[in-house]
Amino acid sequence: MNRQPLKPPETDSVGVPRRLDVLVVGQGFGGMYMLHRARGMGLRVLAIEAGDDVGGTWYWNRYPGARCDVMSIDYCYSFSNEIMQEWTWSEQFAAQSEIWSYAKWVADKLDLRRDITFKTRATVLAYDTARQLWSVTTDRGDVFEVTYLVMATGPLSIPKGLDVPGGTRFKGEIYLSGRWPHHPVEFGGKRVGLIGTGSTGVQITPVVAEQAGQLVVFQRTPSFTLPMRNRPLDTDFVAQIKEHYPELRALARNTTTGGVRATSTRPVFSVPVAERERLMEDAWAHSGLAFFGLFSDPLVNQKANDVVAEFVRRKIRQTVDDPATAEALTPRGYPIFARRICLDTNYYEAFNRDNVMLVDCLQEPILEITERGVRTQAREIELDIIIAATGYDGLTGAMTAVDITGTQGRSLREKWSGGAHSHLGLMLAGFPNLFMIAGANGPSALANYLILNEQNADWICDCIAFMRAHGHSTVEPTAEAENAYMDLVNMIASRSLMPKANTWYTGTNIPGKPRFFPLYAGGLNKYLELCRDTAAAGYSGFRFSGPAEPRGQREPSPGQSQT
Amino acid sequence: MTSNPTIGHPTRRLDAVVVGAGFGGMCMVHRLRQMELSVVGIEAGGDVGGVWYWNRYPGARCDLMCIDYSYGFSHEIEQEWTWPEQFAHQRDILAYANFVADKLDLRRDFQFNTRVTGAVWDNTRSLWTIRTESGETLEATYLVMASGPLSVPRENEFEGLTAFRGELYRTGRWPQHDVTYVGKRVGVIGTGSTGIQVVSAVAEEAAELHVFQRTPSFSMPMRNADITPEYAAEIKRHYPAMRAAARNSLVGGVRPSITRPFFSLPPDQRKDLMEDSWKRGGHAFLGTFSDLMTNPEANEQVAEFVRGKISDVVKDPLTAEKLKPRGYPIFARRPCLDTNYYESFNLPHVHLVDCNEEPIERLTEGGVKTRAREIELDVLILATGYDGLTGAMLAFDIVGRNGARLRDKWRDGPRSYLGLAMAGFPNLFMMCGANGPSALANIITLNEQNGDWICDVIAHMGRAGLNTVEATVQAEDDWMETVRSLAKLTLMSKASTWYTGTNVEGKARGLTMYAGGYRPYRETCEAMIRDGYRGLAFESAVTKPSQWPSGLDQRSPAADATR
Repeated sequence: MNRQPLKPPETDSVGVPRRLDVLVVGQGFGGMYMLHRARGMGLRVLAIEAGDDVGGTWYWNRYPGARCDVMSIDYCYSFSNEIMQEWTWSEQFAAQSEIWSYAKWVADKLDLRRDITFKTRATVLAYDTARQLWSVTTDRGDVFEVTYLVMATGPLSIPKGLDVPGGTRFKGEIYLSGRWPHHPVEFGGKRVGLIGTGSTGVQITPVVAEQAGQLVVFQRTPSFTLPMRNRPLDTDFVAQIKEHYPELRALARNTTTGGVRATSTRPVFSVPVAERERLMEDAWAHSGLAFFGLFSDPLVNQKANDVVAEFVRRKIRQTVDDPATAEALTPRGYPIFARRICLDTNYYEAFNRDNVMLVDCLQEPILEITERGVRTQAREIELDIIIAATGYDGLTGAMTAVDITGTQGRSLREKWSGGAHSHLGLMLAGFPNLFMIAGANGPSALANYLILNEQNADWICDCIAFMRAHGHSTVEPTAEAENAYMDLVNMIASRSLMPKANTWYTGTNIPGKPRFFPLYAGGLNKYLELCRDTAAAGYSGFRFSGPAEPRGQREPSPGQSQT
Repeated sequence: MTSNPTIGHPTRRLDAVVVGAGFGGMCMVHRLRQMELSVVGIEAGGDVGGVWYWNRYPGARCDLMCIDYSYGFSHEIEQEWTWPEQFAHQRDILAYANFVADKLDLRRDFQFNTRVTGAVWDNTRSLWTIRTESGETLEATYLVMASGPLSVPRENEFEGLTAFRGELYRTGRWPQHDVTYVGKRVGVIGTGSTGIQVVSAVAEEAAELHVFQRTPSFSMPMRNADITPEYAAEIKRHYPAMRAAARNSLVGGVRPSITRPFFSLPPDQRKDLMEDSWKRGGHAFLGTFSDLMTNPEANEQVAEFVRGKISDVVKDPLTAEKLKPRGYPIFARRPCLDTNYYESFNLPHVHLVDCNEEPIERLTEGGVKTRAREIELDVLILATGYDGLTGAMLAFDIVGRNGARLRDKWRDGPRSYLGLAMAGFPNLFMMCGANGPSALANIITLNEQNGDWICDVIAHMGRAGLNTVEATVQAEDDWMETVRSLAKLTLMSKASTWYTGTNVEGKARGLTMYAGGYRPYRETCEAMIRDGYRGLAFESAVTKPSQWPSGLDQRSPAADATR
């Protein structure tokens, strides 16, 4: 085996590899905190980011109506009381512009940008077994050689794009919600077509409806959506939150979702019918989020799920004036909450406007984009603007978009050909020293990403510190530990109704992607406990190795026998 | 080995003796019998029912919902029994206990009207020698103490108890015959859960009612309701799912608990939630906020809300003021659920005697002498509470290995491993022990889990040919450390109650119950079994093979059921 000296000289010269301790890929909230932490440990760390600023998903998703469906007081960093105290959210659910401002403000505050290379994508990641390092090539031709590689590439980074033929033919404007331009888009007097009615489409519809001459909503799968009932946060409330922030965040970490939103332990059928109705009416009137605080079992008990789904279906009928449109908007055939529940502001109400039309693509599928608009099986609809809110190659897309090769020349695409497979969503057997933040096999989209990001980055930093303290140079999970963890993930998923819908959770929105529910559905608090216990047990399930020194000079280290 | 008493023979040799025929002892005898062990249950009362056998006082009712406070181990029992009310009356609960006893034919293995006077571990023969009041001696391999947390009423708490010439009743030893109050002057001493129930029930009938209050309780409206046939049918259809939810909850029931902290909501929403909970009654209050037992500030705001309600209800401001509890956190003393308790004080013939102002000096021939006056009474009801949690364990002498006495071991408070087993007391198990979740959980759910755990350990001993089992000193110490550190986190430690032992003179103080919640407790019990019965020390039966009962290696189907 070819053994190289551990530290080649650092250099910035073009084409010459740059040697780092850590490279962070992605500068959304996960990557930003990772960069901050790694820097705090005195590691040589750099980050690369495809966008020209920080913010990740909130950098790209500037579409009209873009808003987070997690409460602002939860969807922000918890690691720094200073940051919590200095930043003030204006609404219960923050708009994209405010979240992006927050990300930029944090980047300024922590002086992150000096270690970030923007407009840069990693293209090839290859592990050099002999030299125990990752070689990273970017689309700008940089080459980094790094000891630890942290993929903070996010679960919703690779838009699926316009999945209908003929897009190039269209003479009007086409916009992807996940690649929205930085300039304002004028809808005034225009005929706008919106394809897609997931969380994004549901947010776009009421906003564009008010501006456009005409809005045509092309619906493939109807979503369940609950009224967000967003409201401004008044000064007194903000002061109260800030006063109690540290304890509120500590309590949030101990919940299944990582937020202070209510979740309840009361099963649907423990409550008499009239009381159930009253509870749901009340939640509908005040806050869609309150639905999570009503009952404990809609995602495990189909009959309990039916009760809530039927309530929402009734609300659609009550809200939408035209019975045929109401019927078409009514989701059927999958459990409520199995597809990500939407929180909307006047979505169903928008279909009562004269300038909004629903096209039910189950009745008349879209055949193609034409020069003038969209042709369905039944007709051609003329449009000036097409918005594709068609979703993402979720959870795994950003990882498989890059060419990643681990030990023995095995590629990640090959490893994940049957679906995402990792240990704790953090590491991959066969890919030493490669860490993921908010990986596909953690709680991911089922939890508050900000809390998950922080915990993942902390875990990674602790692991790196442990390795340095013990003189280990590589770490990777054993195949057995990874398999056992994935068995746990599958076992928990099998108890949930969530795998039953065709969604980006199950990968069924992407043609050719294997149907697989990769998320850990046991709750964020349990997941954090699992990660903590693993570390506390000397990183059980992980294999460490010493530095790549010439044979005979290697000394056994205490952690070496731990598997 | 035989389970039949030999007539005329003073000693009976059994596999197990169970002390107590409450819900714990009943299911324990049933489960041990399923394992084909010879077992006898000893019960001081004349029939089954435990606390519900003794507590026949007017207004006696369970403060847990009946759909929780009932056995979950038998589908048949769940289907055949129908509860008439949300919160069951004592007579219905006792009828239920009798129904179960009939159904499982339990009485044939119980000896009623019998008190145990002592239990001594025979180290040479590895068995317990148990003596009863009637002079009988039983020898048993296993001794299961299912003697309950509230079985020993406080006594001799007042001077002159024998001097009183009127009718004197203790709520926990209520006579089987009817008691009438019409035209009588009645006194009630004590305003805990019992006193509060008695007051509302007696107030209407009595000519005069004097309520002697030492420590005011926080009481919330129960708003009991009939269970409609439709609701009953729905519950029965969904019982298995509800039991599963209960086992996964912090309290072991389907009453709501929630993850929303107090200060995550604006004041107006908090107020609305509290108003709504007050209106809904029952356990609604416990489903409002998550941190009432950990955050003193949140606790005080809820306490103040309830104090405000007392002012709203009670017309005389002076009486209202005296009824308001102060100086300890709400929910730290067991919260009461009442039906018109505060309202009773608006009746002209109901008088509150504030014993903080005028302490009771003694009972006299004619009534009660306080520091200020003598109050003449025809009937005096003592609702003065119990020597809780440990009283029944220390009521007779239990002598373990090497002559060690339990009374010595527990001098500074009860200590055990998981509330189930103790170092130095081999083959002795406790149900609903003082160091488990006990009164903080649904005791029936807990009893069943404890019973399963005990059977699991006994079955394991049979399979592995083990003779004795006891907790290791280390395991017991570690568990008690866990119990203590959790107690420190909760405000429950901060009140003088039977939870903390401060209601009984000379008793060791401190919260000895496991305050981490039912589910974590259950998971801990399951984990230690999975880890090879961690924390238990066994001795092999190799030396004494003849001691082994035959049926021990047979695990009953119920023991394998997922719980």
